[in-house]
This record gives sequence, C-alpha cells and structure tokens, in this order.
Amino acid sequence: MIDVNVFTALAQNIGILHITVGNIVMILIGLGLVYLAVKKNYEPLILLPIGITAVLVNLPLTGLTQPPTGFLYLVKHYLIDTEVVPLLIFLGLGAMIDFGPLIANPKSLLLGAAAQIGVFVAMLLALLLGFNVKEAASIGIIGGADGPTTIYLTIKLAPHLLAATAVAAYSYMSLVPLIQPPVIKLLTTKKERMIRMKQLRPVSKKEKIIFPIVTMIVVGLLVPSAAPLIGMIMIGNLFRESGVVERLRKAASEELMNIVTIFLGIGVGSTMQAQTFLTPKTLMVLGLGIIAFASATAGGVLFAKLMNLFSKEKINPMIGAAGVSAVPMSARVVQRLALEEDPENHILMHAMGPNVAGVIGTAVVAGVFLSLLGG
Amino acid sequence: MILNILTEALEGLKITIIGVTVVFAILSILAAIMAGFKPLFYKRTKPVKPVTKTKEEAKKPLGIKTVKEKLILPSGLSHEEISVITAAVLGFLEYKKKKLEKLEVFRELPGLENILYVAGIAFKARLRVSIGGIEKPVEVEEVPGGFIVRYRGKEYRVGLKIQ
Repeated sequence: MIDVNVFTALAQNIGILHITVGNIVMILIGLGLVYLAVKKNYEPLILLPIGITAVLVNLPLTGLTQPPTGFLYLVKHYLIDTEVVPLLIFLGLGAMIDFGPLIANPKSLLLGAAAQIGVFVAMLLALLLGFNVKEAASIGIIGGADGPTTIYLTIKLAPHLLAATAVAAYSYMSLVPLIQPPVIKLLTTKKERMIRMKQLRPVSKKEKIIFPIVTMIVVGLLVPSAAPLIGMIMIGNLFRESGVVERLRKAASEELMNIVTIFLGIGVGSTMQAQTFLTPKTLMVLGLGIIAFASATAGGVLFAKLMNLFSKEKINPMIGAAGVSAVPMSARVVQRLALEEDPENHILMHAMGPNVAGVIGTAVVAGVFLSLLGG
Repeated sequence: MILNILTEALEGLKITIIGVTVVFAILSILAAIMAGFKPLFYKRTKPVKPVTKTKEEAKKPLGIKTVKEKLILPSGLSHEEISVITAAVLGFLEYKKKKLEKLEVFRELPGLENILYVAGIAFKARLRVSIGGIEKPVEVEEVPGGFIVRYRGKEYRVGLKIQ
C-alpha cells in the first residue's frame, strides 16, 4: 500500500508548484544578465555571477537565502552586509591601479572632482521623484561609476536598494562605450576633440610611493568616513608601488580580487529576489542610473572646457569625461574618440589621470554622504 | 506629500553644495600637495640658451678665421658617461628589437611596436656595455619621449624626438 500522505508531502516540496510570476520574471532577468555577460562581454566577471545567482534564488523552496544557515544568506550577511567584500575589492583595485598619470598631471584631480557632479544631479532628481535622502544618495552614487563604492554606500544607507543600485552600476559601467560618446560629442567641437596634449613627464618611484600615503592621510583627516575606502585602495597601491612586497601585490590583485569578486557577485545576486526587486522603484533606479552616468560625463567635459579658459596649456576636454571612474573603460572611450578625429592623437595616458582621480572623488563623495546622513 | 518632497529636495540641495565643495576642496588640496612634491623628485634639465650675438659682434665683418675646435660637452657629463649612455641606449634598442622579433605579430606588423607604450607596455633592461674592454653594468628604462639610463647609482634622462 502506498501512503497518500507521502505523495502530498512530496508534492508540497516540488518547487514548480510554488513558483510565482515574479520568480519567472526574475529568472528571465537573471538569464538576461548571463546573456549580456557571455554573449556581449558586458562586465562578465560581475554580471555573470549576479545573473546566475538571481536565477538560483528565484527557484522556490531552495532555502539558500533563509537565515540562519542558508548559504547565500551567510555570504550576504557576513561578507556583504559587513562591508568586508567591497573593502577588499578596493584593496585589490589599489594594487592594480597606476596613479602615475595623475601624479604627472595633478590638475587631473579636479576633473575627477567635476565628474562627481553627476552623482548630485541624480541624487536631486531621485529626491524629486519621491525617494528619501538616503535612498537618493545611494542612487546618485551610481554616477560615480564605481561598483564597490555604490555597494558600500547602499549597504549603509539603503540596503533594500542594493540589488537595483549594484545591477545599475555594473550594467552601465559596461555600457560606457555607448553612453559617453554622444554626450562628449554634443558638448565638444571637432576642433576641441583634436587638441593634442603635451606628453606627460615621467614619474619617479618616490612620488608613486608618497602619493598613496599622503592621500590616505589627507582624506582620512578631512573626511574620516571615506577613510575605509581610500585607506584600502591606498594600501593596495602601496603594495604595488613599494616594489618590496611583490607577493602581497600579486595576492591582492589576483587571488584575493578573484575570490572577493565571486562573493560580491553571488552576494548581490542573492538580493535579487522577486519580492524585493520587482518594484517600480527598481525601474526608477535604473532610469536615474543612466542619467547619473550621462551627467557625470557632462560635468567632467564642461569643467575641462572651463579649465581651458584659464590655462595656458590647453587640455583636450574629452579627458574630463574619463573623470567617471569606470577604470579603464572611460579612458579607452576617450582615446577611441580622439583617434577618430586625429589618428595620431594618443590621449590615453592623459585620460587615465582623471579616470583614477574619479575613483578617489567617488570615495570622497561616499564619505561625505556617510558623514551627513549617517551609516 | 509635495511639501515633504520639497523639504527633502532642499536638504538634498544643501548636501549637494556641501558635497561639491568638499570634493573639490580635498582633491584640490591633494593636487596642490602633489604639485608641491614635484620639484623635490623631478628635476627638469635646464634648456640650453640660444647663442645670441652682441651688437658689436654682429657688426664685425665676416672673415675666415682658423679656430681651434672645442669639444663642448653637456654640463657635468664626462666622456665616459656619454659613451656609456650612448652604448646603453643602442644596446637597449637592439635588445627590444630582438625581444619583439620573437613574436610573429611584430614581425608582420612592425608598426605595432610604436603603440606599445600607449598600451602601458614599457621595456626595461639590465645590460652590460663594454667600453675599452671593461664591462659596465647599466639599466635602461623606456619613458615617454626617451629613456632613463641608470649607471653607477646616477640617473640620466635621454630624450628622443623623431622629426
């Protein structure tokens, strides 16, 4: 005799009987991200784990996100919510970044600051759309084009928007080659795009060692809440530039970076559950994200044009667009546009200055938000 | 509702003003500090002044003079240093060429070599140059617009411009 209760219990544990329309939509969104990563090569290192984890967490009854023992719950709770992973990403990032072009031309720092205007434009728009200040700040920071900073700030100010802001930040970072060129071309003339810049001076090893130390101390003293982000990036950079801890540099920029990227991807993906992600707010966040990117680009370009009014040596205003810190994507976009106008005008290294300055600028803005709005 | 949004927007505006000011202030301070460090670590070679004739010299009629040829050396560099630097740069170029020749892509498209630096790839080599039968260890590094040659603890910058 077969017990009917066994069948009932079995039926109750079949996931497909519990799937909702929301789950199906989210699975499709997750597969869409996987498609973009695999087929279009859009930020595959982060969008692939986010996408496939979004599929996984929307399969009913898996218990992966259930406290206290669900695996994805543990990843999110102990690694993402505690900010361990975003900060370790910054350590790895520091070990990979060359601040040489920025040190050779310190004026680039101002372009990195100017591009942060996009953050504030998006924040103000978000406020007008009815988001509260903390949510608006988390949305605005997408304009900094810095994934780990976006995640770091959102966890502290508006954790319920984590999935939307992270997906927007990383998706739009991969779309920089599509978002930036029309904005740049709209705001510059052909003549301006053809400006050739003087070759950058060589930067000594001493300068490269002093820069991370000075930056860490200055920012740490003036905006202490930005110190975790700036501190980690500068420690990583010191590993790189000191030349005496090659093993640590390699570990931070390769092994550690790869491990934390995996945890970041699945941690963020685990927040993409239908009930939290499928809201009108998510759509608004995605819309505001693109405005943030475009206005950050515009801010950098317009400030570069402003600098040209006062400086003897003209700068190509396109390098202002690289102030959004999508390293090195936006610098490459600028280089491509310069070569389109003049095949012998190589401005990649000039664009790298504002590009890495943007990383510092976005971290400082995040620090300002945390100081004013509390964590 | 609208009042609430306006209140939040006003607060946002306040945060924007503070935020923009702080970001510009901090990055300007950093820029100023780094610009201040520049003279400590990076010394530009003084440009050579063009020789200008005085009015009296200019008035003198041109005549054929037998002038003993003088050897003019760049200030502070000995014959030995110049010969070591020259040999080091030549040796470095040969080393770089041989390295690149091993890769098929550079054999087919030698022009690619010129954009390597733009892509962030710079060569550096430790060489031994032999002058008068005595081997001298030198280090040569590619930098924008030339090379840095390190010899006996000193650094020499060699500029290169293709007309």
